[in-house]
Amino acid sequence: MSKLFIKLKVNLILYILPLFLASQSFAQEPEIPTDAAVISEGAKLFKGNCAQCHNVKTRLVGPALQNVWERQPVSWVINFIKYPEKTITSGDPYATALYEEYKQMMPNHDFFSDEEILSILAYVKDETNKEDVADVPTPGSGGGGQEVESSVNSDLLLAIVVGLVILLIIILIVMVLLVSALTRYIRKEKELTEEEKEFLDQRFDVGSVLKSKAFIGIVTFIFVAVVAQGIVDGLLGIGVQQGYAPDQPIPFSHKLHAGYYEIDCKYCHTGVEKSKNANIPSANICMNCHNSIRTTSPEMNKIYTAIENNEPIQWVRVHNLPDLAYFNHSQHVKVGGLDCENCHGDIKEMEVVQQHSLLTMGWCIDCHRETDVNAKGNDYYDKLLQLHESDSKEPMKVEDIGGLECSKCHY
Amino acid sequence: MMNIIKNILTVSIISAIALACGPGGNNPGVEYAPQMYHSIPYEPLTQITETTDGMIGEAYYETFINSTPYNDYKAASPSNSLTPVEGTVARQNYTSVTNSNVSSPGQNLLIYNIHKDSVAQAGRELKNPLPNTPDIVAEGKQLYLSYCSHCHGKTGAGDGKVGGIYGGVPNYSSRSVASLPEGHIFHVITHGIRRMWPHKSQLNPEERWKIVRYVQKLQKGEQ
Repeated sequence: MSKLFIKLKVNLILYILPLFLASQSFAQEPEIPTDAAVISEGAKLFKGNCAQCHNVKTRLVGPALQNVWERQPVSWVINFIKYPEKTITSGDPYATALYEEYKQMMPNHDFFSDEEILSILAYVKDETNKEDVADVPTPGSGGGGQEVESSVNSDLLLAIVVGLVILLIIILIVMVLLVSALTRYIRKEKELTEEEKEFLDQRFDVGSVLKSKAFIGIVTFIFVAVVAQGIVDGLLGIGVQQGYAPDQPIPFSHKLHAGYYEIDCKYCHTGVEKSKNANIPSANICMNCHNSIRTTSPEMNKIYTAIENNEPIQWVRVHNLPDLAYFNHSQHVKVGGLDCENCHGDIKEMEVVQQHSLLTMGWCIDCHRETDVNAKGNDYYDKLLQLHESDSKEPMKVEDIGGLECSKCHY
Repeated sequence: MMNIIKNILTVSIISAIALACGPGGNNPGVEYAPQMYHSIPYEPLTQITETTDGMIGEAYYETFINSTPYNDYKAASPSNSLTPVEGTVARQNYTSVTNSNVSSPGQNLLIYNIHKDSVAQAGRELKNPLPNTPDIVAEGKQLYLSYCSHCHGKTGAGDGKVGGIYGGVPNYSSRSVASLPEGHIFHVITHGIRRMWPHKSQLNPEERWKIVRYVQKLQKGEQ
């Protein structure tokens, strides 16, 4: 009984004391300073500690901070910044409403002194009073710049070519007109010998040229050469899928993700340093970002559906080595230290991924002949290097350690 | 004359066919020995699209069916990845803590089973089993640049390009973050915190501990 009483008493003190204090502090509400030095100090603190979640004029993770001192007394704001969780769980109606709206628990900032928080508020107030000079850039707008520029460039090029062609046609017409005018003039004005007349009356005989042996010979040669080239190329191209760029179930853009947003290849292709396969990311890796970025797009809905139904997304394989050849990503990327772009081309510029390299045996062999083994800091190669250096002064290439042996890749 | 025209036509058609074999767009081109391209044995990340009955015998089939009897291609979601045995401990829940580097006598050695919400407990209990050597920090940096920097920024200032639109990415050297212990960092990489989602499927415990070493450097404002 007495315990309960004490508890009640403590509770009373806990609840009533703050009320009392609040009414007390209301009387002497701290002023937000307007001193320039304080504002610049506050700007530093804001950028280091607040800007990740708050903006002055727009809603980010948390609410926009402009006029926050009008919504609640400054002392309340200071207390909330220091102990958000405590304020929310204590049942403060405004804090609870904030939590309901944003569904985020702001971390404690109890390391701030009151003066520091006031300086941050001073910065926020200063920013609030500034006119909207430049809008916050909308996400994704930066990527378009280059595209526009390059399309302008190609448009210009096309215009120049068309202009040149038109100019040439005009020159041709003028020449023909000149020739006919001159011929007429010569006929009218001059006494001509027989020979000259014959020359003037001479017509360009298309038929005789077409029938001449030289012409037929040349045309036949060109035709046979082109056809032979076509057939040989076609036959050599069997099984070579360079340029294959299939449509994917979700039009994922590597240009946007890897290019503009600079996400490393390994973030999604997690297996590239650990296994034979580079790995196609499962949907949970997409969700690491897309739980809050572009969540309403219809393409994103496909990912949600796949997760809900526990079904894989049916990506179409682009690079496909036949079973007769063995290839291991980790050997090339982790051990060899090669960049992805080496074989996959400029993925960062590809809207739709296409096969960049030939992936033929000749292509493999070429690289194995030319590439130095990345033996630095790798004990495995110590003895091989020693052996190689005993009878050669050239750097050790992949072919020197069996990179051309059939059974390395075909078994 | 007719003969010549006929010959020309035949040759053109043959060459046109030969040229049309080339790949591009949705056309992969002609495959020589297609069974070599569409493997009958298990290949990672392949899906069985043909769910009608049938085995590949000696005959060549137009559609490629995985004939392995153990492959449950008739399942609701046909895939060649098998579910692990029941009771298997996922590698991602493994601490890489050994007897020699255990921080408190009660600490679980192999299985790291602190609840995902108990980040404070993780901060108190988990200790980095990897030494603080330049090599480890360098490896941690490489991993950090691959797996973290697009949100957290190259210097940990929370200014990565993705972080800019994702929002809520802290600055490691801000006072609220700079003092967080290594166990906290490890736990956050594993299970996520607030807006950040778990990364345990992308990084194994050892890699996470390496990243922790580098992040601790960024907390101090070094690079």
